[in-house]
Amino acid sequence: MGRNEEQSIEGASGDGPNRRNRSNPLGVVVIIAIAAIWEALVRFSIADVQFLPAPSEIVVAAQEEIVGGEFVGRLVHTVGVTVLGWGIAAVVGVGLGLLLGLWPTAYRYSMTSFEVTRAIPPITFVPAALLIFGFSLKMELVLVIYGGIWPVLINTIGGVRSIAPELRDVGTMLRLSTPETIRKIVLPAALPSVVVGLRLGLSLCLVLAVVAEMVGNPAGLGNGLISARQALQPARMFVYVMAAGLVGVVLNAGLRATAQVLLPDGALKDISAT
Amino acid sequence: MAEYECLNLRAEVGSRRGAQRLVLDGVSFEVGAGEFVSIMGRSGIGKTTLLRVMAGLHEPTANSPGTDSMVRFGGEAVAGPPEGVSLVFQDYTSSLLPWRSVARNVELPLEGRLSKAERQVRVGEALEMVGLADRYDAQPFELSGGMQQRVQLARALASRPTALLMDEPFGALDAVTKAELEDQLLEIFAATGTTVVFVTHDIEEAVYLSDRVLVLDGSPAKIVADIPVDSPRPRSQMHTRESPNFLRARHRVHEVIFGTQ
Repeated sequence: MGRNEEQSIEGASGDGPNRRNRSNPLGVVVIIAIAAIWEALVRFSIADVQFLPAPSEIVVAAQEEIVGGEFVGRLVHTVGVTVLGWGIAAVVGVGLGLLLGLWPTAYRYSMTSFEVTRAIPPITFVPAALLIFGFSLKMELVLVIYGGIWPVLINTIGGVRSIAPELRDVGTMLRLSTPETIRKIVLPAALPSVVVGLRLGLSLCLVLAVVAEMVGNPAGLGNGLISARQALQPARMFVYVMAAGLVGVVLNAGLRATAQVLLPDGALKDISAT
Repeated sequence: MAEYECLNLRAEVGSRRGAQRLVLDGVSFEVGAGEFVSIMGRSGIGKTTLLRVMAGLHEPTANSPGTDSMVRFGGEAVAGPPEGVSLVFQDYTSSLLPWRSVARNVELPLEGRLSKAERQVRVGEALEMVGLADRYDAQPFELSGGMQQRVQLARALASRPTALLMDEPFGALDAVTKAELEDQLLEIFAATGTTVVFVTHDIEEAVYLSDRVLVLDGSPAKIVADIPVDSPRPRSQMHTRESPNFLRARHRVHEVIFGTQ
């Protein structure tokens, strides 16, 4: 307990980022060990699974894809759509979340609809999006935005509504205007919660982009996966599986680093816990 | 001249279920300019509600036609926080902005009203008054409870208020810190001439600080006693608390609150 507190204070005082981003050698060793066992299982036919490539084959396929194939274009497409869709979802989600968090009447009228709609997995809208928008970029983008909005919206509402009443009284007492109150009190107070929503939203956006590419829009990593499967080239297919995972890790790390640079010290204290 | 006037004040507080409970009824008193007045009473009696009504954070309930239920500050009816009034909240942890440094917290009420240079002068002045001039850049969570409450006091002083409303500001502090802050408040009171309305549940504290102690009692509550404290200023923790005037006033407040035994 005491130790945790100590760490969170250190994290807030500035030397935290190094501590958190430091690589973990033991974790890397485990990954290497798993790859080695996998390699051995496939190479010595201990596990006789058709179409399961050895890690070494995946590495070779990756080199081929990156140099001669469509890999780079696909990667750029998926990252681009994910980031663009997430950006739009973030703006809409935070804006709508502020409105619903601050305006009890709007909250009362709309929360039931939101609870119902939110419970439907966004992936179930893929067929509908396909019918409405066809095999297009538009269809992919709509899905990504739709999926990404929810966590941002819900966390923003939660963050705004859980602001201490005293803090709002402070704003009233100082005769701050509504825009001033939002900018100086509501947004910073809700920020840790908003950032959590943004991070959850980002990973959902990536999932939906890849799914949309697999079944609808013929582009990106998802499409690479499907075309490799159709060509019965499992090693190439796994290149795209790994790439999707790496994109997720890199985007999340990027968002975290950005948050650490942009957010003031006091807000960081709360984020480090998530 | 009366700075604050409460006239037949009536106030209801809503519970979570939406039912309204009548907390104050027929509360009338005046606070003169430059006076230090404490409001006392059992916990839950409505002291904080009264202070919130005076601050313009809580709307009073209307009386039957013919008698006004209202608060006047500087002769004008209070509707929303009046210019020139600062409120110090009891809970300093949730009323300071944790993402702002000490200086930026104190600067908050001045933003958009004064130039950068003027703001810096005011912030320096306010932090000097509460003895935190060397903790400009500290973050609130790095400070002790007493220091955080000083920051809140500095923020309230930065706008140079004519009246300072304080809601049990030292209630959560240890005895030594409390005594220190009481004396600091008295110094500030002497230096600025600000009117102070101070809510507390500590009899000793109320008598030590105030010119008058008002006692709230009943359900709904009203002012049941208005006890003057004749101890001369400046006061000191040791001498004032041993003086006959202090003891007499303390005795009176005890009598009103606990009855004669």
